Amino acid sequence: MASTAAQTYLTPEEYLAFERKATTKHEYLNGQIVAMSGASREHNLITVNTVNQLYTQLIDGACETYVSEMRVKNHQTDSYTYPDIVVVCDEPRFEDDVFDTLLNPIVLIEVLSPSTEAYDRGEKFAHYRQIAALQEYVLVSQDRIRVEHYLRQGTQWLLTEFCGLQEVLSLISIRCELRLSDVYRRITFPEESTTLTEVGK
Amino acid sequence: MASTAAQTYLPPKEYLAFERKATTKHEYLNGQIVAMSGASFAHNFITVNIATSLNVQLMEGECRVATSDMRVKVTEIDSYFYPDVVVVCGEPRAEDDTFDTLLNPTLIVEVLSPSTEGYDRGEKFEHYQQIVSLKDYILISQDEVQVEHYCRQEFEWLQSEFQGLEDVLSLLSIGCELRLSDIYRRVEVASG
Repeated sequence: MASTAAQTYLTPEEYLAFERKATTKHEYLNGQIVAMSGASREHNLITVNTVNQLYTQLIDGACETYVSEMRVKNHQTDSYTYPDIVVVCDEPRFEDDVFDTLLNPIVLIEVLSPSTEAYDRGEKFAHYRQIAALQEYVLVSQDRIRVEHYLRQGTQWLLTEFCGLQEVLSLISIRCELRLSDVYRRITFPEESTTLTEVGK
Repeated sequence: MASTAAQTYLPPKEYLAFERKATTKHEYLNGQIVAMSGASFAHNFITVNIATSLNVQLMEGECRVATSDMRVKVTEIDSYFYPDVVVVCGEPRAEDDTFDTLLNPTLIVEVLSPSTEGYDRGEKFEHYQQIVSLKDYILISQDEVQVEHYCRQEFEWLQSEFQGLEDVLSLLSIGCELRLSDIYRRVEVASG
């Protein structure tokens, strides 16, 4: 999701009060609010394709999936973000009794946009790593077939990459599988001139 | 090291001929040359601090350290880069008998700049991963005490991060340690 930095300083409490009344979404990092813009067709398709797979597999279990609109708070750094996809298992914990700000995601997925790639890979992931509940972080490229999977290993993270449509990513903490052929369904990349729907089948 | 994309297409051989005569440095990726600019005080001091620490430890061994001006080729994709710090172990392999283009780095360090952070974390790391000899990739923030270390496992990369000046990074592949207090020595940054 593309975003641009604004130069307004707010305390975390002020941000939350502002955000709950705002008509557009903003993230909050290091005392700055960051306005969020819309996203491309590919970004939207990948998000929906991925959520579909998760939703189907998690439908009867103890985990819930949220898309784009769930604000996640990192207590350690007082930051607030809207990940593209959030999974929480067992009891979701919220910041207060408005129940709109999640504290304990187990899996976060971000679809990379050119304008936010550095942010998603760098500062945002650095913040997410401090969320104790988080076990897996997934980055999905939208301009080619490439999925990066970070799995928590104590104080370290194991990075595995997937670049083939026939590959399947295992999300161990929630016992789900993500097929790249499904993640990229109905997306065509210019250099290949074949829709991935066909290739994936 | 900040860089900007140029729109000139060159085949790899022409890039190399061009680069060997050029008075400024350019990287080369996907048939495009990418001009490299200068870097901040902090970037330069951090680079030298790291190279110095490693060089002292590697003085007697079979590994050697180079900085900033060592061109590294990723043969698989015909691309060329200038990492901030490179360590090569055993016999350095060169692309040709000009001996200025390294093929087999063991360790690469990039000091992050705002303008290239996305590139260093994303596309550049993706390309470096294709270098079979590469065992370690290290990213250093210059505006805060923050070091990320990617260590190659068999098919995966293990990421560790360090944010305390008392932390020490163990580099098993070259038998070295990097102290964050040495990396950031005399560099003014916010402590993490």
